[in-house]
Amino acid sequence: MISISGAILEIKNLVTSFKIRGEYYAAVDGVSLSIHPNEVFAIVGESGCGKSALALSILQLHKGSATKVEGVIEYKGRNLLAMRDDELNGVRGKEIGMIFQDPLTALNPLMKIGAQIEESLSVHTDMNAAQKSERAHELLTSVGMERPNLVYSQYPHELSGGMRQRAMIAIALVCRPSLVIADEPTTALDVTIQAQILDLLRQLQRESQSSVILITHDLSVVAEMAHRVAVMYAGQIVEIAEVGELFHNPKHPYTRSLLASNPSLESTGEGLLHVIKGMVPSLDRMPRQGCRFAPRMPWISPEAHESSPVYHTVAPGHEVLCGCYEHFRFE
Amino acid sequence: MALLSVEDLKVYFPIKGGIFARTLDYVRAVDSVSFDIEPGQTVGLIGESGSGKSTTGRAIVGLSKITAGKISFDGEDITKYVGKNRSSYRRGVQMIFQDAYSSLDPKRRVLDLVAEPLRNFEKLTKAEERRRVDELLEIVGLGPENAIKYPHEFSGGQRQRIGIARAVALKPRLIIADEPVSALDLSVQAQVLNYLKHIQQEFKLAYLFISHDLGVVKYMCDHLLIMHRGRFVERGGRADIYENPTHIYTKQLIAAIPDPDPEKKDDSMARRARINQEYETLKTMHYDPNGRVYDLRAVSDTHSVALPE
Amino acid sequence: MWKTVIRRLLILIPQLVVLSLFIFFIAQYMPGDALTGKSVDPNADPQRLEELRQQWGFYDPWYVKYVRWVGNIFKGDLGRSYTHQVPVTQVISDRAGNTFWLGLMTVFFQYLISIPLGILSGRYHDKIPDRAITLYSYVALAMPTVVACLLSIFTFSFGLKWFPFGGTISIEAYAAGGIQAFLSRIHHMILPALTVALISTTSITQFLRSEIVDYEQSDFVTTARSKGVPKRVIYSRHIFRNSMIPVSSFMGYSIVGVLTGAIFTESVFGYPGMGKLFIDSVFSRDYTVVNALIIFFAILTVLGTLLSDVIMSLVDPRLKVK
Repeated sequence: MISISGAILEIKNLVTSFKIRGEYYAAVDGVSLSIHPNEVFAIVGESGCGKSALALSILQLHKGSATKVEGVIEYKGRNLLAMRDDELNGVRGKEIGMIFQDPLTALNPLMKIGAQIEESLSVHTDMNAAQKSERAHELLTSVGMERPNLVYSQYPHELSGGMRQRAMIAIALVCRPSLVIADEPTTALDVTIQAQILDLLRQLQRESQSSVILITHDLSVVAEMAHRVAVMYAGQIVEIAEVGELFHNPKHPYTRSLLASNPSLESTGEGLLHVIKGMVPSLDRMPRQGCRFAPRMPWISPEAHESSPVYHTVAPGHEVLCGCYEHFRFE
Repeated sequence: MALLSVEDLKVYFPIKGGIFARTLDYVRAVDSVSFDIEPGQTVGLIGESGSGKSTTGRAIVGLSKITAGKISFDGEDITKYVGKNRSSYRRGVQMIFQDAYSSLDPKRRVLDLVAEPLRNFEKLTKAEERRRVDELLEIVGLGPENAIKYPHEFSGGQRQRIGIARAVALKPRLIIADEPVSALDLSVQAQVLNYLKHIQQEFKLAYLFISHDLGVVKYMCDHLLIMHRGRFVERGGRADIYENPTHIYTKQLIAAIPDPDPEKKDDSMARRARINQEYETLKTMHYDPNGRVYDLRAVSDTHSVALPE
Repeated sequence: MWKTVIRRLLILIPQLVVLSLFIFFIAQYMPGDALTGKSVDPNADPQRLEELRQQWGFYDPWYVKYVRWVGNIFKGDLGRSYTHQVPVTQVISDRAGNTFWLGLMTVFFQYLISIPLGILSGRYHDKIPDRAITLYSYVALAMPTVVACLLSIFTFSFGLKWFPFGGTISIEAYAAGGIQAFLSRIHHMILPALTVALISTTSITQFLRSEIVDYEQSDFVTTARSKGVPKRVIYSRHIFRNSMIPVSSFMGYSIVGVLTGAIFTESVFGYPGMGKLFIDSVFSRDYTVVNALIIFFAILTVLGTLLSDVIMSLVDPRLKVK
């Protein structure tokens, strides 16, 4: 399933910083990872861990100018971070598509769905109006719209939440990108709609053989969707593994704590859920040295942590940050 | 005797239209639902957006106007007093909201927020009040030093715990919890759920736990109500609902829960496809010709399903 | 949508009844009457004046006068102007056209100036063009209408002699008629229209600016950027179009603002429209005209807000449903 050679996207030592009161603070702090062709790669973490900042960094879509992105993001061998904005526009939407969390705000309220899908085609292809319309209809059908002709000429507010997210997916896929970045694509949706959208994403990914980066806070969604997964905490990847390996053999204290606090996994109703002590540090108070998770497991002796944590390979493709995992036990 | 008894509750919202804004029709947000909550019990009310689950909870505490039906508390018909300043009911039933931030006045200190219900119903000296507030904060795991802070100085989980402290201040017997952990991260959510279980034992509380999250409900509740289109489609114990879902809507809902075991992902996708197909073929059987959910019918001692006769 | 329009017009009826009573009583209790103003010959025989008061029903009980007044309005008779000695409808209709065209031109200039300024200000917010425009906006906002009008008359009419001092048309052009008359009318309107427009652009400009700045941060703009849409197109297709919606709905309010503003501008510019008529009638205590004009302005205000709502529902697809 995983081809080690020929990554489609290679992120090396990415640092994304936001300006707060005149100073830059890294929300993504030294992340390296590679995405292979035809794989679903999940990035999971709680709010403030930097997962969305990472997703937006790839195509440099941060709002406002107070953001600094450093490092290397190589897409098919070209460094996206070294490109000018107009060069990058050639990659955005054509090579890499994006799906956002809230399809209501992510769609232009004054443009019909069809026009919003065709916009990418106008930018990236020489298709004429009839060809564009045909392609848009084709997409609307393949994302499971029951009446594609009707939806084509409707406005976003006329669609239900699930249909809007299908339209969003159609927009992301219209130019047949090799990579799709989905930032919390089902968080704003009801359970049954979430299931439909996840099934659709999986089916489309299989058909198109494209790669997907799935950003989510929901471990169950990871289990259903991903081939590989990276767990983020405080701007860093603390653990990365194949999905089966991560769920059956979690190593990092944060991953283990997160799994233990999931009520869906502890479903008998007996006993209490595991609680992670303290809280995620805010950007300007984040510890920048040593193991960043250490303050949240004070019962583990300080000697267990490395002063400059490095990645440890525990199995092929399974890496854990900081040696403390060998000494971790629940309180 | 049930602590809270709801009979044939209806909450209709008028649809206005025409030149004179006459009432053309009604949105039947809650359309004749009945249920009991026993002392100390946790009843889960599950539904998707627009199902009427929140309106049901809001009607019980008087935040939505009741169109018809009867609500009894401790065996006494209190329908007329819901939402009015009637102390035994007001004290006995409290509510916790999803968004703790917007339900806490940002200009007031935690001390005042938590003490507010005490001030309304009890005459306490300043010192007694402070002692009670400190006790309440202690129960939800916040130190007394937090009493002089303002809501914005807390994280989402802490704010939700302040909301809980406020709700239990008058030692209520029933708490309506409307999506209390939906806005929270997993690790924070675990903490709030634990506190909810803890204060339940401490105060012998009953909960009406309103949520769309089937994982959380499964963990919290022993008795479940599934709501759809303003009506109950199924009612039963945890095992009845999760292992033997019978109404086609419940089946779909249960099948939609993502499976936390990565090995089973293809199974669950196939199961969902099968159940969606089943839904299409069987939906005429599970809803009356107007699309209305049938009345509940007992299929076992603990389990009822909305099926035609 | 037509139902909404009709409903709004029906709501107008009770509003007008209350308003008419209000106006009626204010007019009743104002000191003096049409026969005490300056327009009456000071040598007139007081007894003759008293007879006229009797004859014109000045001493009837208030409800008789009110019913008579309202009844006449329904017959299209707003009464006679005491000073002009012609029906009020005629006095007003003579001037209404002037005010209408002047108002239209003012609103046209207002939008012509404020939309580019707002776009420039929002597109380059917190940069030099924006700062300059904001400075201009504050000066314009602080400038009293009368002062601005006098300044522009002093500069452009008295100093540079580009525009006439007042009136609607020159005598020669009136005599010549045709295209010459038309051009002369335009020439007379430009200075008052432009002056008022220049000092009243602030709200539209600043409103448009803040809409643009907000929309730059919106999620659908991020979506457009993720499609690779060039910045220029993002502004024109996504940001400006969305920002124009609330601005276009300002139109109705603008019209109302300009018409009520006409009370001052027309007087200063000596432009014979309804505004000047209003002031003149107040000074000559010609209450039949004043009352009619107040009702007229009130109806215009309601129609203006209604127009804003109609424009809004025409340009925003979200409001079209139902």
